[in-house]
Amino acid sequence: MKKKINVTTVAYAVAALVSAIGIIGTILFLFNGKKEFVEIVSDGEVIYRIDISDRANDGDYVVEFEGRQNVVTVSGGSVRVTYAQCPDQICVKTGELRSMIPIVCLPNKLIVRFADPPAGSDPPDVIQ
Amino acid sequence: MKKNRIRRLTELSLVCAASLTVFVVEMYIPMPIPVPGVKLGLANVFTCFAAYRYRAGETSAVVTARVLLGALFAPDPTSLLYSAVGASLALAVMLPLSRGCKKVPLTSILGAAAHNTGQIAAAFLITRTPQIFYYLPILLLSVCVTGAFTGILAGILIKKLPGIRDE
Repeated sequence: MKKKINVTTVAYAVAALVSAIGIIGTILFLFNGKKEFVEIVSDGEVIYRIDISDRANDGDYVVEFEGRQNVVTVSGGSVRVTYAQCPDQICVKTGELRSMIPIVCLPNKLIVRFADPPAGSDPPDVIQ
Repeated sequence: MKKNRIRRLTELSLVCAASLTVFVVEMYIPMPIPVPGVKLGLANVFTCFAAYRYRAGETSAVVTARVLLGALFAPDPTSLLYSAVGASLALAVMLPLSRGCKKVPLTSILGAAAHNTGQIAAAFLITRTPQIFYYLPILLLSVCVTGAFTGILAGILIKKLPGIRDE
């Protein structure tokens, strides 16, 4: 007896898999991943590496890409993008960095993410 | 014979124009979820419709035209790359599915999932940060909702619009 693989059944299975990844992934990623250091990455390069638990590092960090600016504000242990010269403003609307899910400004190739402290670190800021 | 080709071309142009219009208008609808790539994906209604109604080459032509023209309206030129990658993957998934699967919302969801996955992959290539993949689960969740919605709309179009018979 020949069993024909039903496309619709496979499609349902894949859709179920997609939903599962969606739900499990969101739960896993959304509530974990906070660390003490934050990296600001512009166009693939780490521009700043900041110890946000150190109040002395509070302030505005300005990053520029192709003439457009993003301002990352560190204050009281929280990090957010407070100003961005980009069309969608998603980075600003994301609010505070709160999990392993980074803040991205895709048009300006900017990523703000939690990071581990550099091994054998000296200065809390790494400025390129 | 020639009359049918002109009719078909006109039809495809209309579908493309509708898709493009919806695509541009959608850019101005703010989404409550601040995730790059979350949108209603309404243009997919017409891509899905075309996939079920027309031949693979014709559907691809409509989508290609819409991607290229859509880039003219986007404020950010690099979004053309995201659009192109996403649409290519979506077509690769939806064209075969439209032949084998009768459930339009299912095709739409999987096509939209492929679209967003492609966009995240393109974003990774551009930003070179693997952390961007952490956005994928949230995107996949939103895709299940928006994909089902656009699929239902496409299904209504497919049922209500009469097929053009070759005379």
